[in-house]
Amino acid sequence: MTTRFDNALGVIFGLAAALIVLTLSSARMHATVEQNSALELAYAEATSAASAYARGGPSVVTAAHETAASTSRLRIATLPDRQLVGAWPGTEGSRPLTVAEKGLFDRAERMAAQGRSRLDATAPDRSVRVSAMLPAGSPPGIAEVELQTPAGGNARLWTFLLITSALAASFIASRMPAIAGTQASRQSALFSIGATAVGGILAGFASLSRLGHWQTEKAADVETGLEGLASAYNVTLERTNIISEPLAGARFDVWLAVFLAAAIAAFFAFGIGRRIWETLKTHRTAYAYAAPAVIGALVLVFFPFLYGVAISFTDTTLVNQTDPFVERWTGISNYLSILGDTDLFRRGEAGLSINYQSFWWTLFVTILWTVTNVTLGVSIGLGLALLLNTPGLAGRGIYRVLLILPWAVPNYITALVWKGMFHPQFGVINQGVQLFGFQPVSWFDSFGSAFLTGLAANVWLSFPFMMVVSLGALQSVSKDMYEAARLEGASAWRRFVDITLPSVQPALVPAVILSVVWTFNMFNVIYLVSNGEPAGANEILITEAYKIGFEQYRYGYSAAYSVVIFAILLAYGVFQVRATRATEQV
Amino acid sequence: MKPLLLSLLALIMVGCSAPSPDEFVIWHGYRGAERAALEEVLALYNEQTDGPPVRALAVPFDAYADKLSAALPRGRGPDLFVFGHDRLGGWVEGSDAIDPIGFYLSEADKERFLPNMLEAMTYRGQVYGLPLNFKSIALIRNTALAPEAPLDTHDLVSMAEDLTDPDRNQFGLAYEFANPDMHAALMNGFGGGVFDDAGTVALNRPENVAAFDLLLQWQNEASILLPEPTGALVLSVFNTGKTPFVISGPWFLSEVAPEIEVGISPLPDIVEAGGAPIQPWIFIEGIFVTRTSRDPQRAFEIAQFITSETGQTVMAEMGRQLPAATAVWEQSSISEDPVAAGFRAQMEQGAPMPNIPELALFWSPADVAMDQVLRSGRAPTDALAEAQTKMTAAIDALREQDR
Amino acid sequence: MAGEKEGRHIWIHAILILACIAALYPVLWVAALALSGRQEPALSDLPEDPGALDRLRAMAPVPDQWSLSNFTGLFAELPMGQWIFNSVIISVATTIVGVIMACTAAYAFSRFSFPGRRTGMMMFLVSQMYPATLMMIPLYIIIEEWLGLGDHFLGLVLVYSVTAIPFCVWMLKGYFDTIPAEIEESALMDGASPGRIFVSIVLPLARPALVVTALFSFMTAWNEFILALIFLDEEASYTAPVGLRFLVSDYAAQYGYFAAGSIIVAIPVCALFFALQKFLVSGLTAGGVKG
Repeated sequence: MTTRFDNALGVIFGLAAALIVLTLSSARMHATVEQNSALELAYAEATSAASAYARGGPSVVTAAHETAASTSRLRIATLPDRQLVGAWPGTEGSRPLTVAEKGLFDRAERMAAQGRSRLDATAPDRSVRVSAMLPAGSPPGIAEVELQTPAGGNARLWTFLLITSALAASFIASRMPAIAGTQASRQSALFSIGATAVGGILAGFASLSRLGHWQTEKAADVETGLEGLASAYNVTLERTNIISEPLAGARFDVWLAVFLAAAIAAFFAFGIGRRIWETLKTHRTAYAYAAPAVIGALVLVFFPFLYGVAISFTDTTLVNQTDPFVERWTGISNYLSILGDTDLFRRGEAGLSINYQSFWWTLFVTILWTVTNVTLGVSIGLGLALLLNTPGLAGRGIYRVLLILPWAVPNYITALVWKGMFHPQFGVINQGVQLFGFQPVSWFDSFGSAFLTGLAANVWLSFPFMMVVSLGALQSVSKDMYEAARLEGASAWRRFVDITLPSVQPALVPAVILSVVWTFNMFNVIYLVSNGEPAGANEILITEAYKIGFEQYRYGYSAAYSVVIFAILLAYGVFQVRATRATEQV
Repeated sequence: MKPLLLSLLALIMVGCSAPSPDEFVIWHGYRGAERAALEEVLALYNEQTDGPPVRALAVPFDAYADKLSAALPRGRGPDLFVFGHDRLGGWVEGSDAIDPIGFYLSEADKERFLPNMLEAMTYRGQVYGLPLNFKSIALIRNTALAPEAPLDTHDLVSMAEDLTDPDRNQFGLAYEFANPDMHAALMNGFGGGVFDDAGTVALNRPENVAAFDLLLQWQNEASILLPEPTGALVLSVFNTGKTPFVISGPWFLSEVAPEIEVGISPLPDIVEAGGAPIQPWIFIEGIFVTRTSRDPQRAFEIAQFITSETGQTVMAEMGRQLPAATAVWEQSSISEDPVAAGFRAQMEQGAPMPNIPELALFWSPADVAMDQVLRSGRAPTDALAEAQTKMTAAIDALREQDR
Repeated sequence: MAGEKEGRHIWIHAILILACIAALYPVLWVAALALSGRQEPALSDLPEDPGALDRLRAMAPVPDQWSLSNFTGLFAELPMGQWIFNSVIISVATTIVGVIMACTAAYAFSRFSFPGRRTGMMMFLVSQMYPATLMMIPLYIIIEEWLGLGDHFLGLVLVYSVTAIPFCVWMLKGYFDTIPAEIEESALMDGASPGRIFVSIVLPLARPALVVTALFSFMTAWNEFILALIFLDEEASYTAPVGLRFLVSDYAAQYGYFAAGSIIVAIPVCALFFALQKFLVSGLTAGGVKG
């Protein structure tokens, strides 16, 4: 196959991408503009009906605006006596609201309490609902118009899009062997991706400007219609929502589509799809063995992770969490603000002091916390395991069970016991300190001593796990090699370094890496023992992320914090795995 | 091995029972007497009415809010739930999951609760729940050590000083003073507080500085305070007669050793604030109906029943709650109970805790400020100014999108 | 020779006994509280000018009064038996599911060479790096809304297994790596199928590592509390850690009951470990050749 053919393919990709982009953005655009004009018209209807009612018009008000009226509905209700005073279609006179109409009452109450004159809502079935307060002079209440927007047009667009992409996909599939495999294919693959991206971007700009034009026209139409209504009923209309900014959503779609099209093009152009299939076939035994665990991890760990990553690029908080995703999007500003928190020192009346709330201080504490904990935990665990592994030692079973107790007892209560043991007045630690003639220590008053409290508790909690892992790992040490080394007169230390460590390393290294990860994110102990005292100096990153998310309701920022934690750990993990692999090869 | 595995599998499958469709579920965080009382009330309701019964689910209080926050916005919550009013604003704004009940309320309903109760259930002008009971902290004393309640802070300090001897582990006053929740009582008492009348954060007011100064004086000069207090420790010192005074709520009493005779009185007047009383935050528990309830109207009727005079009498007598309904207080068994009367008197001079979500942004900066002042000796003015800045920034971050 | 060994053992015993005391001391405080019949920790009553003996007495975790009322009260007030039973079911199921999934995966990663092997191992490691507290809501969405397994032990078992898998896979893979491949190769020569070799040769050899992973999976499920609380909507299906949380709230905490409950909850773990530990020390056969 020739390069020319492949380049032609690239152009086709480009055209396809442009089509996709055009379709997507115009679908979104039309939907938004239709919706907004529907809202405006419904509001106009509601206000005119409200003013007709206030001027003592007929008790049953017919809808003023008939063009979209095929499925529209109007209701007027008053608050104090809970009466439905008008409705269309239908001829009901004044009667008390039913429970089914409670929503009407709730919205009226809400608007009255908040002094709003207008309330919009979009229902999932594509209908819009607009409520307007009854004007002054009438009893407080609302006029509400609900209208169905026709759904046909967009469905057609989606079908078109589906057919286009299906055609493109089948074409690509049929050309797959030709796309990959030849020398020239890499160049032409790049070409086709480039064409895709350029085509998509051009199409995007074109469609945005075309739609922008269309939007302006539509806005003008609605404006004229509204003015007509206003003069007919002699009311002043409140303009709050006139078809503004629907471009934001469409713009997001355009970029998403360009990106997806280029990604799909790349996927096939480099022959990745075919190669994946080949690989799967060749190594099917291995994949079958690994599949359950991998799939489980993908579903239950990676979806939550992606969810977190997505949220981290938004400013999602408690109050805006139901808004559309695009409107919450803020790019990398969360990350900039976290990493830019470089205010490490604070100038106070007592000179320069450390700002304990700074991200970098917290990071420093977290690293210090992790390093000290893991070092102590692993040394103690491995040391005890070595002792317990002494051949012929009496009472090993008893020791082993006693030594895992810190792991077995729920850590909530033992953490509280540790906190109690460090109490300056009643704690046993200070009793011990005084027993040896020292002054009692206020453990939680300074950073260093408060850090020690957490460290002591956490090492105590974590060494049994390392001990059990080491015990398991020690079983792979060959006894023969020990004997040989002993006969050659190697010292105990040399035997440990030359035989024991290399043998336990494969099983111990993952445990160490994982315990670094777990300690880095050890929420409970910090929270229960030192709780970040004094003045937040002993917070670690995870407790900080928790506070931002669950106490300050800033979900986006908290997710970004978590992603930063993740990135730090990832960097560590990659480094550590590389380093151990290097030693393995020696 | 195989039958064992199969039976295990069967157990896993059975370990879940699909909730019956004809059942109303109410979640609560109660245990012990309160739980028994609620179940009694529900049994009464089920007896008196036809139709689907109500079933209660007790959730450990510790993570009750987390469970609600996960379930409510996704429509997986119960029909009704019992919770304090302090998180109402957050739930209304965050999930729209609580059904407003103004539609059902009659004028008589609005009259039947103690003052401030229904207001606490109101957010942005709409009523969301029926008040069930209130909780307040008050001065709890061991009458063997302190026969009379102190009337003002000078009384309190001088009585406490007499009974303080750190060498013998005795402290005149034991309460979780470093807890911002508790400290708010002093701030309110001085006329300060977290928010000003317009609802904006105003931590750096001179009144709040004065509240800190008083606490510092108690801690450092009078040295009457139990150091590093935790709930368990406060209970321990009180039960062993090592302190005459504790500041805590009705929940504290259920664990007091039977041999100790307890007196409840309102927190004393602050001499330093010209005799204004200490004003603790009042915490009001209500029953809320969820929007996803299978029948919100019926759910509301259930809430009406639980908060009715009959229901609240059971909750008060059996569950030792402080009822929110006025009628229950007209019964002598409640109004003449010295404990209930003591807390009621305190409630009258307290201030309901704010129910706006902004309050949640207070804890973290306040914790730091308290630590800085009480442990590191930072000047209250500075610490409060810093807390003010941080809390304002946190509110701006929360409200950014709203404007 | 024998005398020298004895002498060394005395030192080992001394260190181990010290370590046991350190490990036990806080637990003994829990036990002392549980056995005191009270709900709050006892306070030492030091005399005016405390001497060393008084201080030592204050440091001894011995209740000043003995009573089993915390244990009896706990069982009378809460359906602890049911909850512990639920916990056992969930934890055992988690252990079985987790270890099976981990074994096969670890075997593939250790013995086969295939594209994505490194990435796969790295993926397991990476999956532990995202803070768990923030996965609560997405997990809720998956389990409750997508899989419809809320209030269902199966949902919890799946989540717990997957939580435990990364450690198990890494641990087992590391251990499988130390088992010489020659043993399997000779079995393959004898005509055994790969599946058969895995089950009857590799797994028995890896018993110590299997015990460690099983214990780990069990503990993951046994102590978890927040997800169980959020998923389970029926008191009869609560697990023991969820039930125990009833005893410690912001208000009225009953630490005595909680301590008693904690001791009870620790017993099955200790029993399990005691039963498993004989497998912990018999791994590679003495004749196994180190590769």
